[in-house]
Amino acid sequence: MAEIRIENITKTFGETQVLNNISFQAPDGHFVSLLGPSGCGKTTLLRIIAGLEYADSGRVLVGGKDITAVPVEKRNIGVVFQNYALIPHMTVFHNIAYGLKLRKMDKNEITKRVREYIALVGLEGLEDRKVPQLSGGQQQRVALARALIIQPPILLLDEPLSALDRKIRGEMQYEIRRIQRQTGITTVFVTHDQEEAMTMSDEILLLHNGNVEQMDTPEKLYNNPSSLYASDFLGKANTLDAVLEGEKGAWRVTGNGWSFPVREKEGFAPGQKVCVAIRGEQITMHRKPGEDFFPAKVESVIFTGEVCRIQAGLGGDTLAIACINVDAEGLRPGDEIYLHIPKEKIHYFSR
Amino acid sequence: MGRNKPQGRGFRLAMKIWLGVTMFILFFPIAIIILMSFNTSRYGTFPFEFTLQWYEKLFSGSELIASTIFSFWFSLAVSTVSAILGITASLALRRLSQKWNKTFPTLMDVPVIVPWLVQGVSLLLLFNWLGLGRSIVSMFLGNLVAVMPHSFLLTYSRVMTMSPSPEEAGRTLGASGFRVFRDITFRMIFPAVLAGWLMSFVLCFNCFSLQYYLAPFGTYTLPMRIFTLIRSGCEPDINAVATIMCVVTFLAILLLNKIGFSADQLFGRGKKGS
Repeated sequence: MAEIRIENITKTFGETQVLNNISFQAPDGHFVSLLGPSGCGKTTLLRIIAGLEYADSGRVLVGGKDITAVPVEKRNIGVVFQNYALIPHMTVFHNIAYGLKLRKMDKNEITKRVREYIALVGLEGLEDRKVPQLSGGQQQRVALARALIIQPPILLLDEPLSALDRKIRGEMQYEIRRIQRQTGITTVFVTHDQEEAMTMSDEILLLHNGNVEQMDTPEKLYNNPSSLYASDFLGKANTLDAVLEGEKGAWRVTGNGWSFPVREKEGFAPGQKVCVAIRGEQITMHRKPGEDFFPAKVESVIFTGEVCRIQAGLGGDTLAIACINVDAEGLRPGDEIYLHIPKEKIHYFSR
Repeated sequence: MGRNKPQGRGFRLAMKIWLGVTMFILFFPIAIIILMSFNTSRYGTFPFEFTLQWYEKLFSGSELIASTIFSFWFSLAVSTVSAILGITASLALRRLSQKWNKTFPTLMDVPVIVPWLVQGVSLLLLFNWLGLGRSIVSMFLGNLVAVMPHSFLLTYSRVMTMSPSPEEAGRTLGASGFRVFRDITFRMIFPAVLAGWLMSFVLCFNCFSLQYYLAPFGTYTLPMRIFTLIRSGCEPDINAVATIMCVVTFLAILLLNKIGFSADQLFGRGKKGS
């Protein structure tokens, strides 16, 4: 359908800088999530793309066309809002048909098309229901059909699932992704839920205080975070203070009573103070010592079903380790274990 | 006695009697007027003999009916303009800064609080100074000032508590500003607008003091006419007019109530603004 290009978008509300020179690109047919905590500017960015808000500077391009100065009603962009934003006095049918009616389409054609989209979102038989008679999930399906029926080149979703309960949210995540694949529409999805972003997206744009922290595929963002913030926001990582040490070719990070070999990284030099991020599930745990293993003492063991969470004292610090249930069998607080972390799994950032 | 235990019998009986007395004081005079409008006696004396002669007299060219019709059209015009101003002011105010959002509604409370007698004097001074004096225009503007805050405050509170996102959704679907207002905004605020409009109508219809100050010589609204008649001795056709007014007012209140219910149904089970 169309690619989205955002170029140097800046926005301030009064004194606060909400968006600081944001640029990114969503290729045709991709599903991109804007992820970040509340107040990071993700919704504002989405509203700027939709045309509901204007940027102080920067450009928005859809399919190569600059739409920065085009008013909302002429942009032809599908938007699904957080609180569904259905028109309360219209039925399901009329809500979905509204966009086509505004385009002065023939009545029979409208009926035909609405049927088609009602089937697409799985709402057959509810055409004549009033909005208050629908459940949250149903309302969101109506909102989705209403946004898609005008056949926009891009679809924008502003935290569409946050008001739904957990089970329906999972169902709708799947539904949205299915419909997006089926229609091939380029989609920008705003969420504060990192799990949701990882499940659904082709790419994630991580926003932090109005800046782009990192944009990557979910796997890369998770495995190769480019900043401490990214490593901590996507799946909580252990963050420890340490110092870089060692000769060329044999760097180590040494902290309060522990030391692990790490990969060399440009822009860093031995002697530098760093902050280390290690994911709990990337630590392997052994009962016997070995090369580059570091001893630790089990402090607590919590079974959560398939995963077992262990707190272990490593020198003067505490590490949270996650492993599959079987590996932790028989482990008791006070036991001695030996930890191994592959070089490439230890990320460090300047502090 | 525990907090959740029902009160003693004597207490409940006393309360029921108290309620009865209150209702009696509230509604007995109205009932009497309605009854007397059907009574043959000119001086409101018993025995009661049913008649429709006062209604006949009223509708066969009494001065009262002319004033009633004038008051009706006059109030209709004032309340309609008041409703329109209420809508435009509310929608404009929504776009303004927080400061005005607070200040303006407070300013609009002033005409509600200041007694109509005082307002009447000040408006008359103003209109004299402007060279309008006592005229239909002055009376129209004066009554508008008195009732506009009511339709504004009702509409404004609805506008501020409702979510703007259905309107935004309408715009993303391609609706121009006017279409959004016609198809979405107006429909969403309609119950409040109608309530404000009815409120303005009733208040304007009853606003004797302002009308007395500002009406040009020879123009009589219904309250002014009744006032004159009562001072110069009246006939029971005044009861007939009062009865008709009561019925109309009851119908208006009934309608307001009905809107209240349908507004609940329309805007989602007591959840405001979502």
